Amino acid sequence: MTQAKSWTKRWWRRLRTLVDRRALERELDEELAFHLEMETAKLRRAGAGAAEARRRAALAFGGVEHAKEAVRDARWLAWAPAFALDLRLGARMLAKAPWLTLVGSLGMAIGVAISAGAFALYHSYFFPDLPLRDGDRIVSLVHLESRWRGYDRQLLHDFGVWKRELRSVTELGAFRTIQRNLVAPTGEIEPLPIAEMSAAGFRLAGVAPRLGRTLIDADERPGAAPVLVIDEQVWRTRFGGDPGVIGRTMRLASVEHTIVGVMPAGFGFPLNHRYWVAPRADPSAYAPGTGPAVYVFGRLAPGATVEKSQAELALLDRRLAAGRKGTDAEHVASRLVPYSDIGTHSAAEDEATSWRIMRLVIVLLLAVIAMNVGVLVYARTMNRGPEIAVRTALGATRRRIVAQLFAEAALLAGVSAALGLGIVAVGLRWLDRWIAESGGAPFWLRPGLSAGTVLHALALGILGAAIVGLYPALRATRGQLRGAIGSSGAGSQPRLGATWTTLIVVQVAAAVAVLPPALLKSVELGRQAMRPAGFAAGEFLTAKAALEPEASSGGGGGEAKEVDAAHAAKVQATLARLLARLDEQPTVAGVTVASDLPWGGGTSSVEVEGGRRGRAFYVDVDDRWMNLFGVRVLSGRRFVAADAEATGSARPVIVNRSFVDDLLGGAAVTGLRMRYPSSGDEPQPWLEIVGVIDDFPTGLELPGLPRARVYHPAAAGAAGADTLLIHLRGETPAQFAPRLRRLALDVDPLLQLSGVKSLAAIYAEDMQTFARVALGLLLAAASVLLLSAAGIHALVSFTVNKRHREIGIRTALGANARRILGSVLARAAGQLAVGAAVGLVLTVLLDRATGGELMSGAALVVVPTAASFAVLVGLLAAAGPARRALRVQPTEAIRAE
Amino acid sequence: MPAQSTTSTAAQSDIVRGTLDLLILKALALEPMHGWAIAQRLEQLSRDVLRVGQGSLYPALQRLEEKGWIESDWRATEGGRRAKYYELTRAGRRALGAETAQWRRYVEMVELILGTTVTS
Repeated sequence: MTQAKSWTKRWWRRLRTLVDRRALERELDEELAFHLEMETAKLRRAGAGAAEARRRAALAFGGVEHAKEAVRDARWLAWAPAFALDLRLGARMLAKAPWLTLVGSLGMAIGVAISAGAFALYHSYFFPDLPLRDGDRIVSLVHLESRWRGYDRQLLHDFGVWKRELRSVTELGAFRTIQRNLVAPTGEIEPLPIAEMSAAGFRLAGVAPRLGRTLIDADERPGAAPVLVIDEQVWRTRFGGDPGVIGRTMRLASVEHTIVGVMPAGFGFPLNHRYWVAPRADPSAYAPGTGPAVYVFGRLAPGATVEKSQAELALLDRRLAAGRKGTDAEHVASRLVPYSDIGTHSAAEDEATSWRIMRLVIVLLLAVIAMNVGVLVYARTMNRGPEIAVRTALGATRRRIVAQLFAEAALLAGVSAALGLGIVAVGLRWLDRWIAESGGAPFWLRPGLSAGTVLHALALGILGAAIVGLYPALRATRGQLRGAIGSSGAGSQPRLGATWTTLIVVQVAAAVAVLPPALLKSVELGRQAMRPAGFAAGEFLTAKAALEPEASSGGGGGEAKEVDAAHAAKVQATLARLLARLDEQPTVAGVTVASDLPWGGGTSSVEVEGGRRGRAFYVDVDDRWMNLFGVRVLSGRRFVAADAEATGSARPVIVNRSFVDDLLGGAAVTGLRMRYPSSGDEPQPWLEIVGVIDDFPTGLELPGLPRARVYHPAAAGAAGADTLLIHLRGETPAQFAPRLRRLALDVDPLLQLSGVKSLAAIYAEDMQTFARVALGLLLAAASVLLLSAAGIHALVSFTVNKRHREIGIRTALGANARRILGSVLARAAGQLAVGAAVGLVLTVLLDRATGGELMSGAALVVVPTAASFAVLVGLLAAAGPARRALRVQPTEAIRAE
Repeated sequence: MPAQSTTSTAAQSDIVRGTLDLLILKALALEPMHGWAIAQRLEQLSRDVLRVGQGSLYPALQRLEEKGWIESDWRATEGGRRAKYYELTRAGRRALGAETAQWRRYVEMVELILGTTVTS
């Protein structure tokens, strides 16, 4: 017989053990019957009578059923049918305890969701695999700013040096994203994000163009014709998939670009770009630490390691240090980081720390959940003592019983893992959509569940089943040989008294300390999300304005700082012209410029004269801002045009009412001075508070963020004051938006407008984000609360159950039922009270540690409520078993011994 | 050997299980046979010294088949009855050689030890 044939036969037989079990059993019966027949016939031939021959044949065989069982045990996957039976039994047991099943699986599902979600985030967002050839060898080169521990991107000068000298990194290139207005033949304007990228980027990615060619080094030379590479989607939507697209032109701002290539769909290098042009900047034209912000990338040379390259970079740094002296670049150190850092990270060290904290929180949360589910199942398994004892008496081995309890837990864990994965899938889809909406995800982020995440969840499920099922099962069956059938719950008297008391205390304390803040935060967020803007946001159109430098052809060798200053002046002049044009429009009631939206801005800690400190938003606004929104001045004055010209300590600031309330306890402040904390060595100047205005938008409280606001005077276009806010009358923002674009193009083809939207729409989007976070938090808090309640219930009812016998004996001795109930409840109440007290202390400590922000002043109401809730659940849990115990016949309780 | 559960018989049955596999392979080396015939052959070979419970035979056959050392199919007997016949596979033949050699080494070793003990 050939090997292949016998192999096929073997697997065919194995397959039959799975799908054709009945036929196999028939064959086994037939085979054994044949054997007995033959043996009987032999004995008869030797002279035995028919009955005697059959008897002796059976005796020689030694038990047909036993032999059959042994044959079944020797079959392939012999354990599978038993396990299937265990699963069925487990499903039945779970269905018999629907609350345990519901709470347990929900708890585990949340645990799996949190852990698998963190895993997915960790891998796809923080440390993704680049879907490119040798993706793990593609790196990014950055400057780490030692003063503010972030990445400094003004590294054009050093890029030139690296390109010339660095040996351990090849295909060194740089890119930045620029905005260009695409002017359609119809006159329509659309600002497009374009990658201005070295040709090296295409070589690095190693993806062939669909049509034509990629960018090449020659395109970067001064005087080269402006060329453009587009991606397949652009080619299909804008050019209808025209095969003759190569050689056609697109007008970006005022420059006609010739299309030289089409990249295949899915190619998004360096981030998520669809248009590519060649950079014209000459790195040597820039002094260290000047010029536009760029991202530098490259590939580790063959044989080079990150450590080696880092060492070479450090060596170069030492040589470059002399040139950096006295410039902003003085405080930087060059670093080699994974390429994907450019999309998600700001400073690797800080990310690592925050990730560690996040991981700690996750682990703590998982521990709480695992403890709860474990306690639930444990208490239940212990209560099944009599059942286990009966099964043992009927001949079940310990292994069988443990296997059955494990199957039950595995079922619970399996359902939970699936549920948890579902939650993660929905969450990831939300996150992906959110990232896509807020500016597009980098090409390496692949939405949805990865195989790794699914595996992770499965592994968690198995681990969960092992913890939740195996440990209680092993403990419950440990004393099974000693436990007689009649011993019931009373046989295993509470050796664990102290353990159970500790568990109850910890459980209640955790519920009291952890849940109120989560509930409070979600309620707060939800309330904010429901709030209307408080002003006619629908009448305002907003847009962010940006002006690209005339040509990105370097500074022509001139002084970079002067070039920067000249550009800043030009931005200011251009915006002023646009504002003037807007004012002429009949439907424009007013226009103002700020550095951010009315509810946006940066936050910083501030110090007011006299040593009082706090956190506040800061935002730059021009002199028309307060009038445009009709914000009331409470004391002092508004900004005037001249304020924007003032520099240093002569620059006035205006603060809002909450600033006065929160930082100064409502005292008058006009004339006081405030300052920001010093960055680096130089202290920040003191700034005079010249006025106090009403909160705007009124009553807006962003959770976790200060209410206090500081307004700085700014001229349109000066240093970040780039957000246009236009008040319209008689025309909707949607109607006016195209006209705004056309006006901008008239003023300057290089003037970019992005985020052209009505304030009402942006406000709604922002609030929707709050609503989503609130919902997620509320769900998580509610489910943990449910789990805690179930955990407390299980613990208390279990401990009372343990006193079953004692209660019976006391009843037999004539004790008063009310008295017994009282003593049982008093003990439970004692445990619960200690837990609640520990929880209260923890909450107060946490609230103190966060400066009162944790509870936002509502602690007095919420924490006692949570504490009473936990105690109430515990007492209810105690009452049921106690009442049952009272009904026990004394004789029964005593006989149990 | 009727089913008993004292420790000494359990240890004995462990040894028997190992040798039983070997004996079945040896019995099948000559020709394909059904279960009863194997039992007869074994009884013959052991001359009633080693009495193998006939019921233990079938789990052993199942085990050997699972290992891929023997194969089975249903055929008609000389008397026209349908019976399950077992036959050695190529792997089974190799295993028989290896197991036999191992058994001999084992016996030699035991002999050696027993011999030494007696003389000292």
